[in-house]
Formats: sequence, structure tokens, C-alpha cells
Amino acid sequence: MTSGMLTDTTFYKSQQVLVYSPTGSFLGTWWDAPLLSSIKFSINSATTPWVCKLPRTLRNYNSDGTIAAQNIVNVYLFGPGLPSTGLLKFAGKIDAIKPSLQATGEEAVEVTVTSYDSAIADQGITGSQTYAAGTDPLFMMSQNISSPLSADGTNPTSSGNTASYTFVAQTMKSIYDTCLLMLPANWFYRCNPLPASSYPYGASVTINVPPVTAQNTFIIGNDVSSTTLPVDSTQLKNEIYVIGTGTNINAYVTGSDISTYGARIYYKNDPRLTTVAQATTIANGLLTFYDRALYRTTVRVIDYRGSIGAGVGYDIETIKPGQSCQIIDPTLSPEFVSTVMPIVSVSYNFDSIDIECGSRQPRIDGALAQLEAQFSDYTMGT
Amino acid sequence: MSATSYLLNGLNINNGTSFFVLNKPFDFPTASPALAKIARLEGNTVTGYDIKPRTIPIQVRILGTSRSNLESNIDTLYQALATPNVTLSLHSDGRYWRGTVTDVKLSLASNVPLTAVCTITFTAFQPYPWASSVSANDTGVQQMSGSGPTYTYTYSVTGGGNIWTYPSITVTLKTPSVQGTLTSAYTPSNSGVTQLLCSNPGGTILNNDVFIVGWGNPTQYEYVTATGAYNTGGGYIPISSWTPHYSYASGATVYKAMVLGGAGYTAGGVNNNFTPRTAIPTALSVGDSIILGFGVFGSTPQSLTVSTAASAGQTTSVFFNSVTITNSWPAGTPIVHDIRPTSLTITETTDNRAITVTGDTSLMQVYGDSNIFNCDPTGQLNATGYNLEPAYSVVLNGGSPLAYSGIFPVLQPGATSFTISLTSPSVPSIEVVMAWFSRWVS
Repeated sequence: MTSGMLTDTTFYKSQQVLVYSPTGSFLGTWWDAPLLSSIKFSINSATTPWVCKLPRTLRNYNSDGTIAAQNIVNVYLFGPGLPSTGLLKFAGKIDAIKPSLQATGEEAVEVTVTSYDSAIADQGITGSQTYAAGTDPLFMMSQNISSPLSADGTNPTSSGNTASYTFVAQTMKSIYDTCLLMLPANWFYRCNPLPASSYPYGASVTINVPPVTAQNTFIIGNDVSSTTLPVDSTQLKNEIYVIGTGTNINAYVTGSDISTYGARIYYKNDPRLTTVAQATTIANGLLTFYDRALYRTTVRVIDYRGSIGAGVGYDIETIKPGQSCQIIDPTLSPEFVSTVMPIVSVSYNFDSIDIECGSRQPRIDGALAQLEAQFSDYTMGT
Repeated sequence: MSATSYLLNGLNINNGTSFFVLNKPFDFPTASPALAKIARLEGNTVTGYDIKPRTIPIQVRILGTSRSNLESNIDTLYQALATPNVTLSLHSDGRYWRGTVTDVKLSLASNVPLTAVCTITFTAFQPYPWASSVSANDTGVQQMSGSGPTYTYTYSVTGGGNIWTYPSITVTLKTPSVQGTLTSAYTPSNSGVTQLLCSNPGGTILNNDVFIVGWGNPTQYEYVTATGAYNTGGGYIPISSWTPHYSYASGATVYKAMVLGGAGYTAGGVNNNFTPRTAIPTALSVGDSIILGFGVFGSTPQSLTVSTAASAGQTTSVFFNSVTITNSWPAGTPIVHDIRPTSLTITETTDNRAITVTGDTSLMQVYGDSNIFNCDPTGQLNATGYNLEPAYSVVLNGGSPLAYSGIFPVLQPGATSFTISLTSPSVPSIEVVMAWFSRWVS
């Protein structure tokens, strides 16, 4: 029989923060770290950094030798339903250190831990890479995953689409975003942390498409603290004009809903496009991306852990961006059942998460919402 | 009858002459639940609790024999109260909180001459008081159970106090071994060494006995051959001329191996036993791993699995599972009983908390080596009871913090069950010493 005390991992969730040198040698444990919160995991983007405030003195904030630039920080979670060796929830490197003394006498050191996956915006190619016609965009993406990122072993190897493109002096993110436009609707990429204790540490890159059936069902009255279900077509674009390099290297495509919304044009100038076929591929991708009314749903989901026997709450640690979800309200008659939506982002706050979902009306298997395009983390840029 | 002592920063604030405690609370620490609202569900759900620091108000009467004496007593009291991070003990058993006096209100008592009454607010940042003395549990040497390669030992410890506490757990390798330690350093420049300066490994050392110098080091070790008994006066084993291939620090382990006897082995032959040239130093269990040619510089040793138990001191054949011998080995070749663990897990089964350390540079490898798990996040405790830094750490023989996976065990006030799991090439024996300061809710 378990103790039922707050130490009981069959009821309660806890964390361990382990710190390693840049080469992966273990340095110590931040027992004084606050609970992991205020970080955001997103598809097609990097995880936001974790700003961790440790209650340490100005003079001896690094007495344990763990706080130095580029040291690796791994945050493991323990508790019901989690591996006994812990769930690696966040991994990154120390990028900023700010010891402080306040007028009140409070001393602390604020450490900014940048997620490994920020590499997608910090690394890229300096020359050019040309992929001939007939190349699967998934292949282009897989060829541009570089350390500390590695490919998720479950990634599909074929998307069914082919294209040609020449990448010139682009970050990984820029390359991936371009490839998304060449892939069928709904594809996404997501970064997953890997432990520092084994090679390859860093993050893996999942490239996939959300299933059309719901992987997560949130029940009002049981799991959901609050939700909003707005529809927004203010960002809709139904005329796409793409201009490449060279005479008459351009493409113009339109959606079927101009009579409904009126003409809303989107221009894109990409000097890397050197053929009409390339420009058309990108134009169609942009049309798929932008020509839709946006369902931008937000859901606050509460963790089930700590609620003994009540069965209230959801296993928030299983939810990842790129998964699909739907909301059910059985308190209504007939019960409300939302469309199945892809999860675009998860804002993590240890005891609860705020999910943002986007979907295309009316097809539940339509392209991911324009919301994706609006994500930009602190390092993002193309 | 003398007054009960109540100590604040070592000052008795109830000494029966100048200080009298009028009021002391034994409140429960405040637990703040982490609540969340579920839409259309009555009430809240709870995801955890935050135990707040304790604020302990204590009312003390101060008496003086004169005005100046009263003022002097107040000064004495204030001097004790002004130091931050001190201890407060209000119980008969001496348990104490650690904290700081954060407020004092004092006024001269009306209508009572030479008397002052003050209310001291003591803030205990850790809400639960600790016992004043360390408690401990020692399993003694225990041979672990199982058929290998993972062996277990399960037991239970009763913690004391009335709330969980954070133990220090020392696991020591006690698999029998005949060994000593170098009392002098050796390097490759020490050519033709014939006296191996070391502590006495014990037992009888005979001509042709073989020792592994550097045993426990994962990469640098080699064998030497004794030419006679340990020289107690000189503190050395006489050995055949030896020039080290590696550098060995003083303190490196000298481990007595078994010795291949008879005519040795020829490569390609199928064998299932060897006759030891001298008595084997330790007992062998079925399934134990022995390594042929271990410590022969530049060679590739071969692991064998014991098929019949053997006793310490045995001079008759030692049997192992039949194998093809891969190299030719002359008589005199060392054969070691491999007792080096590769993984250690402590599971606190009561609350499903497990922690694991792996790897030959992190784990106890030699008889007497210890892995120490300091499970106290506040760094309160070590194996001997006091003041271990860093908090939440695993070390080997007191070295630097080691990598681990999992979560540190705790000790409940009642019985807490533990399972020690050791992955080892041979049946291991261990001793587990647990030390802790009991804690109370108030």
C-alpha cells in the first residue's frame, strides 16, 4: 500500500532538473528549481525558452558548478502514468544567466534555458542545395536535419508529392516551411527533446500529418477548465501570386470562394524559384494554407494527477502539438461534439496546459490553420 | 522542579528566572492546495499541494530584578533573536526547526513592575522540525537473491517521526574478495619491480599466486605473480620481476585472482574446467562469471560461466560451462572472479520511487566501494548524519556527483519497503546503511 503522502508518485507529479556539461557529463541537480511552467511547444516552430529563477545568492549562485553557458538542462517528470525513469519534458542549453540582488534583499539567479530545437532557426545552409524534379519534399527535409537535431525514427518516408527546389542560404526552419508548402495539406514538423544521458542528445524532429480521428477527447465537466471556439476569416487569402527569377517565371492561382469573401490577394516573391512549375507548386501550397476560415480553438486542460480517485482531469503529459483532438460536452442534450482539430501549440504550466487548435472549415482533414503561420518564437525568422 | 528548556538559537527562553514561555503553538503547517476549476463541475479539482513555511509565534515573559537587569535581559534575548537561520526547539525530545525570527513585539507589562512581555515570530522555512539526532538502519552484509544477471535484496525500514523524511543511503559492495591496496605509486618507469608495496590482502599467499593490480579500474590493470608470502615487516608481496604498463596511484586495489594450473590451455580446445595452480581465494556460485586471461597485457580475455559451485580454498577442478578456448594460455594465467556490478537501482516500493546508477566509472566495483545516495534536497544529511553537500546527489566513495536516472527515495514514518537491484556478473553481496533525521508535522 502506498503512503498517500505528497511523496507518493502513484498520486502526485514531481520533477527533477538534471544539469550536464556541454559534452554530456553530469554536473548536478537543481533541487531548488521552480516547477516547469510558461513554456510553449508548437508545431512548425521551436519550443520557447524556460526562464528558471533559482533562489541563490549573488556571490555563490554557482556553488554547485552547474550554472554556466551552454550547460545542458534536462527536466524530468515523475508521477502516475509516467516512466519510473522519468519523462523528459524539456531539454535545452543555458543561454543567459542573470544573478540579481533586489532592494528587498532577495537574491536569485535567473537562468534562461534555450530549447535544443531553437537550432532550426539558428542553423542552416550557407551555399545552395538543388533538388531535381521528382524529389519528395520529405526527403528534402530529412536531408536538412543537422545536429543537435535528428530525425524521429517514426517519420514517413513518402508523402505522395514530389517537387523541385533550390534552397539558397536558408535556415532549417526556412527550408522546412518551404517544404511544408510543397507537401500535401496538414503536414507539420515538431521537435521532441532527447536526454543528455545518451547519444544523440538534443531533439528529434517529427515530420508527419495528424490523424483525422481524434487522439485526444476532452470532456467538458471532466477535463476542460475553459474553452473558446471562435471562427475567423480575417486572414483568409484566396488569390495567390508567386514571382520567381526570370522572364515569366510566375504563378497565379485562385480559390473558389472569391464570390463569398471577395478577392484577397497574397503576393510572394521568391528568387529561388526558377521555373513556372516550382512557382505553381508554391502558389498552390500557399493557397491551401491561406484560403480557409480559421477555427482557432483554445482549451485549458487540467492534469488528472493529484486528484485522488475522482477521475477528474486529463493526462496532459501525453498531449503533443501535431496530435488531433476534439471536445465533447455531454452536459448538453444532445451532446456537443466539436470537429476534430489538430493541436497547434501546447502552453505548459505543470498542473494544466493551454492548447491552441486550428482547423479548416468545413473539412476536418483540411490544411492546418493559418494560425501556424502566426507562430514565431524569439529566434524564429526565415 | 526546574523549568522545561525551550531553546532559540541556543538561548533558553524558559529558564525559570528571567525568561518564561507563556504560549507556544503546535499548529499544523498550512497546506495550500493547487486548485483548478473544471467547467460545469461543482467545486474544484486539486493537482497538488504547497506546504507553506511555518510561522511560529511564541509569547515570552521577561523578568528583571531591577530596571537595568530587565533591560539587560531584553538585550540578551534580542541578541539571540537577531541572528538569522537559527534553530528553535520547543519539544521535550529536542526536535528543532531552522529559521529566522522575523518579528518581535515587546512591551513592558502594565501594573507588573520589572516585567516585559514579548511575542516572538519565528519563521521556519522548512515547515517540519527535524530530530536532534540521527537514526540509522544497517542491513549487515546480505547476499542478494536471483538467478542473474540482476540480483535483488528487499527489506523494510521504519522511519520514525510522523511525516516523511529524506535519508542518505549507502550501498557498499561486500562480495567476498581477497584484496589489498598499493601503499606506493607505480609507473612504467618503475622497471623490474620485485616487491609490490601494498597492504596485506589477507589469507595465505604462496609462490605462483596471482594478483591484479588496478582492479576496479575499467581500462588499466595488469597481473603480477607472487614468489612468496606477504612480507609483513616490509609491507610488500614479493613478485616476479614486473614493469608496469600503466601508472597506478597509491591506494589502487590489488586483487587476488585464481591461477590456471596444469598444462594451461591451447587455442581451439573445448574445455569445461580448470585445475587451479593454487587454492582459489573466494567461493564461486553457479552462474558466476570468471574471466580467463584477465590482466594479461595485450591479450583478449575470455569470459566463462561457473557451472558447479566452488568453495574458497578449493584446489580441485573448477567447472564452467563447456566452451571453445579462444586463445592459448600458459599455466600461471590469471582467472578472476568478476564481481563488478554494471547497474544499481534503489526502489522505494512504498511510493514507487526508483533511482538508478549505471556504468563502471559510477558504480562500486571493488569490495568496500560505496555508492552514496543523498536523498535530501536540503543537503541536510550524510551517511554519518550531518551536513552533506551537494543535495540530491549520488556519489561513489565520496567523489563528484554522478549521473543517475529516476527520483530519490524517501522514508515514511512507518514502514517503508525498499528493493535494491544490482546487475552483476556474479552473485553479489551488499550492505546498505540508511541514515536520516526523523521529522514531525509539528
